[in-house]
Amino acid sequence: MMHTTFTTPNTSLPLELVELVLSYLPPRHLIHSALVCHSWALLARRQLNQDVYIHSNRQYTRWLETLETACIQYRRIVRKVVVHPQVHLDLSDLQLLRLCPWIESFDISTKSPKDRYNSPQKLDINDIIGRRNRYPQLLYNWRYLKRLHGYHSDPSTVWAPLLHSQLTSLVCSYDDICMLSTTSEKSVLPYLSFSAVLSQPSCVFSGLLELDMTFGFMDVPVTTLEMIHTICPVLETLKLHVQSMHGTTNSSQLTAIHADDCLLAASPVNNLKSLKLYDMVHFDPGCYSYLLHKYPLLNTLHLGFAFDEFYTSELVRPTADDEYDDSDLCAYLQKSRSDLFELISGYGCLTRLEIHLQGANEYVSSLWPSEKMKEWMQGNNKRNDSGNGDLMETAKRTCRLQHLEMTYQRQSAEHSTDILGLDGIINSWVGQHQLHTLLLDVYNNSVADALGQTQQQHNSQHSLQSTLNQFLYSDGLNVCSRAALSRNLATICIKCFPGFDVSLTCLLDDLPGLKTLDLTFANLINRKRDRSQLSCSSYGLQQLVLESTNVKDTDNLMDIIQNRCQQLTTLCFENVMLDDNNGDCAGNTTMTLEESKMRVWDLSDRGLKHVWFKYLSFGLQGLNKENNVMVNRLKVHETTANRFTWYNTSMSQGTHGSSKPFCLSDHDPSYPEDQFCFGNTGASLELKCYFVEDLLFC
Amino acid sequence: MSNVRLLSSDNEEFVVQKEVAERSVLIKNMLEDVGETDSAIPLPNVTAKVLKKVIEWCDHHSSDPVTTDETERRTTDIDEWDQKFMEVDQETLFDIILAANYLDIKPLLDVGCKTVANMIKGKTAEEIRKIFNIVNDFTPEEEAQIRKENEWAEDR
Repeated sequence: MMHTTFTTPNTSLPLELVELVLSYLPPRHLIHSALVCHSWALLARRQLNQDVYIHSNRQYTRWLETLETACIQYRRIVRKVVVHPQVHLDLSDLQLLRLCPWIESFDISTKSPKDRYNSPQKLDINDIIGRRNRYPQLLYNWRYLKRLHGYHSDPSTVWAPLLHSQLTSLVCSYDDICMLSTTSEKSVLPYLSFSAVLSQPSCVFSGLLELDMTFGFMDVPVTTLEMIHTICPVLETLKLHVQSMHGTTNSSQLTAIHADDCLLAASPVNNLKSLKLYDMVHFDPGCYSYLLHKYPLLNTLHLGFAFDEFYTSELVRPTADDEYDDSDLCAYLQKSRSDLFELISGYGCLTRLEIHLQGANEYVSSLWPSEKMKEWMQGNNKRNDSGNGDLMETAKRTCRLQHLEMTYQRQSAEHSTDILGLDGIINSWVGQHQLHTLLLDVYNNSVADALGQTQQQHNSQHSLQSTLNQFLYSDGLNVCSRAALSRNLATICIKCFPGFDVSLTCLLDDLPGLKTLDLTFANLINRKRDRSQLSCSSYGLQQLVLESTNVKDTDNLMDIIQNRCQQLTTLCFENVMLDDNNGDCAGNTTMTLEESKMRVWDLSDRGLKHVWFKYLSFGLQGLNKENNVMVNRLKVHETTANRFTWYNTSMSQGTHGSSKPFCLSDHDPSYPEDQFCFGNTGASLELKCYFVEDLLFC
Repeated sequence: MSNVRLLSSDNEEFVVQKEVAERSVLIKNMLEDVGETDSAIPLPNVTAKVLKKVIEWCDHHSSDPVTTDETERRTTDIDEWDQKFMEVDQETLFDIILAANYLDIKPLLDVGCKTVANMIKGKTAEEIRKIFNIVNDFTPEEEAQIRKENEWAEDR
């Protein structure tokens, strides 16, 4: 079967090199290569099938049909399958698993390109798992399955004995683990069966590195962790969805803190690097000290508090007292406030901190030690110049954060008070040499409510918005120190309603290391610096994502994209308003009418790999009678296409998968005219896209 | 900076800086094995013409960091200098690829293969056969079979 392709010397390559060549070809080109000769067909087939990317229902159906008729050698090539989330999968008959039992990775959760930097891809085969009882023999086909995610309808006693030794990643519920207990008696309180599990673990997940477990509405003792580590000895990442956890085994009362009891049981587990706690409401401060002793070397900590009225009242109600009061919870939270800080700052190796808060302000402000956080983050600086004992305590564990993520969707009912203390935190991290990622997602209702009111004016000094404005729109006062100190900051992702001003030029000048910028609800303005010598000629920005953003200085933005970001690979605009900006940009006066008529955004020399435009709109305020011919042309050059191309069913023909230039104008019937209307002179938006790896245009 | 002498298959000698020559894993390992040596390293699989090109490439990329980034590898982007460098006739191109493979210079091999991949892009099977001088060994039935087998990948 293996014919050599050496016909005459030096006009061909040996097959292993041909295979390497083919590995660079996207599927549509591989199809032709498969028809060259027998040996090429084999190589192309392997390339086509080992990593399969399915982007439509039709394609999925046809692929399955092909597999159905294909021989086993063909089917066993398939190892990795990625399915676009828009594809509706019917896995009920398990056709795919039957046909391709050698699949190692199955992914139906492809993130949009703009999310790629943010989170690793997830896998969810919940649907398949749920059908297990109908096809028990298929369990034996899963010998290569490494990741099992999803909550299952089948008892864990069915799947765990088969999979426990091969899994590296597991999502399950607490009940699943408890059911593994060898004793048949079912306890009313599930955690009472730990001892049974501990004494006789029926299966040990010997290779499990990542565990994501949900506890439901139970009140669990912190010692449950002992059981988890007995069953999963090499765990590195632990995610727990737990609303209520208490420090001792026999009490759930708010006041009961028996830290010593917990510490007795806590034996340090050094291989756990990442601990993530979600949806917490009632978490005994005793648990914190337990965690501190149990996992001394954590580098990632996620704390998610969800103060939902629906169940906070249930959980925190004092015993024998039906009268429930908000202040009870506040008082309780107030108590654990300093413990929370002790927990966070107690981890000396912490490089990544994620805080997600949900719920009413009074709860959050009771719990969140914003002042202490600020001091902690400034710890490096304060250590020397203060003899204060409290500060010394703080500085003992200096902040080594590299990744800071804070989410709070209900920032402040009281006008623009900055509950999270972002003012202090943002200002402190500027002094942190090592911080490289900053993600903020804060939805500030009150600022929107207060708009137009005098109160807003009054509070503006301390508002979050002004903090952000001050930071993102810095006027060069502090440039030197910022530039020197923020060299490490590579990712900024800020989503803050109702908006903030950003001067892209200033920001990029200040942060020379910035690679990813993701802004939502921003207001891009142009601000020229007096000290022009400070601006670099080119920036290292690689990804630019703008969402629900108003661009005041379109020309400047395009200038930056076109001429100064040589390394840009990803460009995403979603719901972006591009204004003609002659209004507030004085530097443009020299531009002649001819020049301003024709604005060509030529991105064809850029190595753009992902381009995504959705709901782009053009402001009209800059158009006047003399200047009403504005032709915007966007040229994107063909770069390479790989197989993981983005695909959108609503995309018009010819935009994707072909090298045809794609032109869009207001004559195009598939686009609403009003979006691209530039008066009656027939001016249009023309988008020239030669093939880009990812192009999404809606 | 010490130099290394390389001897091509047609007995032409090249004197190259050690760090340039060590872009080739083969030569690097050889030097580690034999230690300091004055004798030239024979490269029986590489002609002078090709070796000259390869040395030119190694010289230009001598200070490149060694990357093992897999995602970087996946794209067919080629930087400008390399594109120019690869503007050679097809026989030389294949020779460079073969030499890079023999000398174990991974980045050069990648660049060469990417160049060939770009040549193949958009070509029909018949055109590809011409480039690689391959004889069509399919019967019409087999060809139809393969077309059918790969149809799903064509779906857009």
